[in-house]
Amino acid sequence: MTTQIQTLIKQLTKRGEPMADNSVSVQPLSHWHQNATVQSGLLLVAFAFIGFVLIPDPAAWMTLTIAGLAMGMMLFVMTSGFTLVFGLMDVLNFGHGAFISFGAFVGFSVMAMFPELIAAGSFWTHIGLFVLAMMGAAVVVGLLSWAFERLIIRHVYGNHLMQILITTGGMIVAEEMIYVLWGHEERAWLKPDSFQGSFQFGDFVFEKYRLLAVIMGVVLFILLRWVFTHTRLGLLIRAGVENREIVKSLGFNIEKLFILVFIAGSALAGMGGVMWGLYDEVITAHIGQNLMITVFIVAIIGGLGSIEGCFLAALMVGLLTNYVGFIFPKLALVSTLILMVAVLLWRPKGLVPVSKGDS
Amino acid sequence: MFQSIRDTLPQSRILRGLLAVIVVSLLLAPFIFDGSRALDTAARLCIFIVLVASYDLLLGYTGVVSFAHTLFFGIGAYSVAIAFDHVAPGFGVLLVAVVVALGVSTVVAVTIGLVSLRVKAIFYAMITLAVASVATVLVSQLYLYTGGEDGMTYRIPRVLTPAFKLLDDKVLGVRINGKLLNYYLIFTVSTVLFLLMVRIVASPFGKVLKALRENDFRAEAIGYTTVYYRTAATVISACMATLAGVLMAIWLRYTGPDSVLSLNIMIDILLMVVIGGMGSLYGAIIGATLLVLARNYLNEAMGVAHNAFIDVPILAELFNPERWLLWLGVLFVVMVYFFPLGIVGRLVRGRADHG
Amino acid sequence: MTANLQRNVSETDDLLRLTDVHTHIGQYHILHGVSFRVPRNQVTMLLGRNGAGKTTTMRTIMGLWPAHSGQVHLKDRAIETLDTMTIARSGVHYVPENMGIFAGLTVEENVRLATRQNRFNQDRLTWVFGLFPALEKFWHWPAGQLSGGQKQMLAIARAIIEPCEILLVDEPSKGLAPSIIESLIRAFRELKDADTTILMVEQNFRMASTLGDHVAIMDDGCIVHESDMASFVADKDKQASLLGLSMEAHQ
Ligand SMILES: Nc1ncnc2c1ncn2[C@@H]1O[C@H](COP(=O)(O)OP(=O)(O)OP(=O)(O)O)[C@@H](O)[C@H]1O
Ligand SMILES: [Mg+2]
Repeated sequence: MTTQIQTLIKQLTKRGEPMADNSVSVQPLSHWHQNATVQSGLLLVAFAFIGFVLIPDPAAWMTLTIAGLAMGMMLFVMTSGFTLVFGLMDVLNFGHGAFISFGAFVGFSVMAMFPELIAAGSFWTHIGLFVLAMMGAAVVVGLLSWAFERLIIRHVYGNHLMQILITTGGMIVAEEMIYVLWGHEERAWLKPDSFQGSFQFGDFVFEKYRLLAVIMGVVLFILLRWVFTHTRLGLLIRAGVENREIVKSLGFNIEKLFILVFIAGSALAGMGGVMWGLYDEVITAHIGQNLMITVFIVAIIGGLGSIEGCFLAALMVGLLTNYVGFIFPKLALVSTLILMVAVLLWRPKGLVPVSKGDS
Repeated sequence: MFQSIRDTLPQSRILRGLLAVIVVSLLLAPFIFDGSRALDTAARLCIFIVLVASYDLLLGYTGVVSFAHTLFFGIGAYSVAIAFDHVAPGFGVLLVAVVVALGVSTVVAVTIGLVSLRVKAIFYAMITLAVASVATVLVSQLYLYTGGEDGMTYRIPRVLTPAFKLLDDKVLGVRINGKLLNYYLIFTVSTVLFLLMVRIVASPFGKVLKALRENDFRAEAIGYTTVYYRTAATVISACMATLAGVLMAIWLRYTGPDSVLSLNIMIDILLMVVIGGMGSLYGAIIGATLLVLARNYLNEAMGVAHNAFIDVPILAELFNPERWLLWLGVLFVVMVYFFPLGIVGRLVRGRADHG
Repeated sequence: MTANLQRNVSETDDLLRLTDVHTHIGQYHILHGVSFRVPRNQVTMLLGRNGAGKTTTMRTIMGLWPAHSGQVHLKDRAIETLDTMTIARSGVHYVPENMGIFAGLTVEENVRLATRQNRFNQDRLTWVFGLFPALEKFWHWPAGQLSGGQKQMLAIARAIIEPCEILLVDEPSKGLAPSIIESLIRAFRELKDADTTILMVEQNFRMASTLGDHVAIMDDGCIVHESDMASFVADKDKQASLLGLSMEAHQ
């Protein structure tokens, strides 16, 4: 799935591409509208359009769309690791939420180390701090997840029941550890000055932090995509998600690959936690647990193991939550659940199903 | 029927002894423990035993992890609460509420089951978690009917309240009043429900469930029957949880998200099942008792340790009595890892190893 | 066990040797003491009925199922306790029964993944393209869109893009049209001429008898016959008793 669009574009643009002749049996490329990624992308646009029709005020629609995209990007950052870890190793990590919480608290502590810079700094200093906080979260959570994998996950490969139970236990412990380390109270985490407020163009208001979140999300997505399509590591991950036995038989160390993906995925969750904490401006040990529900929904809608699916589903859920939240404030979470059920009834394996090689 | 139940009793003598002590203590709770707090603990324990056993029916016997069990618990409790609050506290109303609750639970259980069956079994855990959290949101949003976050306090039939006096004199220092009746109502119903579940597990139906659990490979091949049996188990489990919720609503005279719906209760249930022992309903009794005792006494022990380490920054915080869940969480992980069959499984197998 | 049937024992040494291998899958005991040898620079055919345990034998050699007891020797090295990665790196290349193509990757990516340095040796690539021209044609297509025969070619290409000690191929002709099987036979013959040691599971007796030098027959998790191919082909009674009528029908 991953490269279908690319290949399609190559097909269309590359001259001298050998076309099918009669001597070899050729299956034509599936027609473009059958392509799951393209289809889901269109669905996303349709979402935005329906929102535009239902929300009478274009300015409000714009605000909601930006908010939805920002939320979607953050969800993507948080979900990508979860979905990849499942795709690659068939491991369901219910403790993923704890990494989000931990990331948020580490980021908080990192930022709190530089009060003068936050108070006096310019926009770029703040960006630097923000990135530093995300890095800090990524490193700490990465290390933590490495220990988590060694101590807990590796003993329950291949046993979903044990995985769910043991990682849920891990989540309980991790949350309690946050209480031990950072205290029981929720923490207010104000955005630096230069992230507050908004730009205005005519009627349209753009909140700065939301734009920042969108940009960060896009940058991370492009980075991830680049890794997936242009590096051997990415190639290996994509191959491993499809069929890890063959990856082993080709002489690769699948365990090393998995630990790497597990650490990277958890680090992403930690970064997502930082982005989310600063968005909400308040963090508790429970944010990961609460977000986990949405993370699951996004992962399932996107198709477990699919990074494109994850991206599209995250944006879809982000937009839906904001639109519905505007029209019927109380039904936002319900609407995502309904979306999930609808998608599952339509496509039991999610929007962009991962082709498992053994079929 | 009693013979077949006796056959299901665990072989281990220690275990039988433990179970006997717990059951007798619960039976005589009003007479051997002082104070209303103890009685309250005993009643909750009875209810939780049913709730945990019903969860075990799902987890231990079908290997399915559900996070929506509190949803059914909540359906039972809220039906009674709403009926008593909005109609009138009476036994006729109660009956109607119970029937409605069971109906709703069945429909919800079947629906979740069918949607999840479209996808892989492992989605179940994730989907149920989402459904449960949506239910919590709904309850807090529909506050006109549910009392929202605050929950609802209501009156229950007078015969079940302390105001109703059966005898004027105390017996063995205990007032014979509606509260006592209420306790014995809870105790009796819980016992009956528990035995019913034991019976179900011992029946051919239970045997099929076990076979399915043991051999997923073949079970998948059988296909249709798997669906049927799993769904049936889900529905039975849901209905039992609903009835436990009904009992909870009657006992507490209060129903709110924190008492019947929250994720914390779900986690408690998980802890109880796993620590007690999955796949043996008697584990529910041990697990629930242990957790209730831990709640009350681990706190105190940790308080002592906390004071001892009061000057060591992180260590003191580790033993802060509020952090008891930390230690239970650690115990939980250790149990899942080393003794997946829990205390009961450990005792039973320990004996088998010697014999 | 019947190695003495091999006429020219002294000329060949064994590249791979299985000795009394037992394999369990879960609670099932599948292989009951499998012993046979794969002579160097020859094509060895592993034949047998459906469910005889051929795939299980291949997977055991590859380390994908652990051998419960017994030895697997690659040259003089015991490999039965090694993990799949190490076995693969020792030069055992595997084309599994269901081909194991990465459907979401392009043909090029599939093959590139099997190279050691993530880039192609141009001579080797030209040689592979010579064997399987279709692959060059669909080089940048998603592998999932190839036909069954092309997928099989891709799976083989992936296994030979780097030089190997021994090639394990599990039922390459499965589900393919006769014309495609012919082109596979041509390709394998070329590999054979290049002195590649091959262990192949095959149901198609024509393919097995034209390519094979050495043959081992399995039934119910045991080797029931081992000899050189020529004498097995000559002995019609043996074929009938070991392989049943189905093989006759293939001829
Ligand atoms: N994953 C598994 N679990 C349980 N039993 C298995 C498994 N895989 C194979 N078997 C059993 O092992 C036996 C041997 O199977 P194997 O696939 O090795 O046969 P085969 O000779 O390759 O057959 P075919 O010609 O059909 O490919 C069969 O009886 C099969 O049912
Ligand atoms: Mg086979």
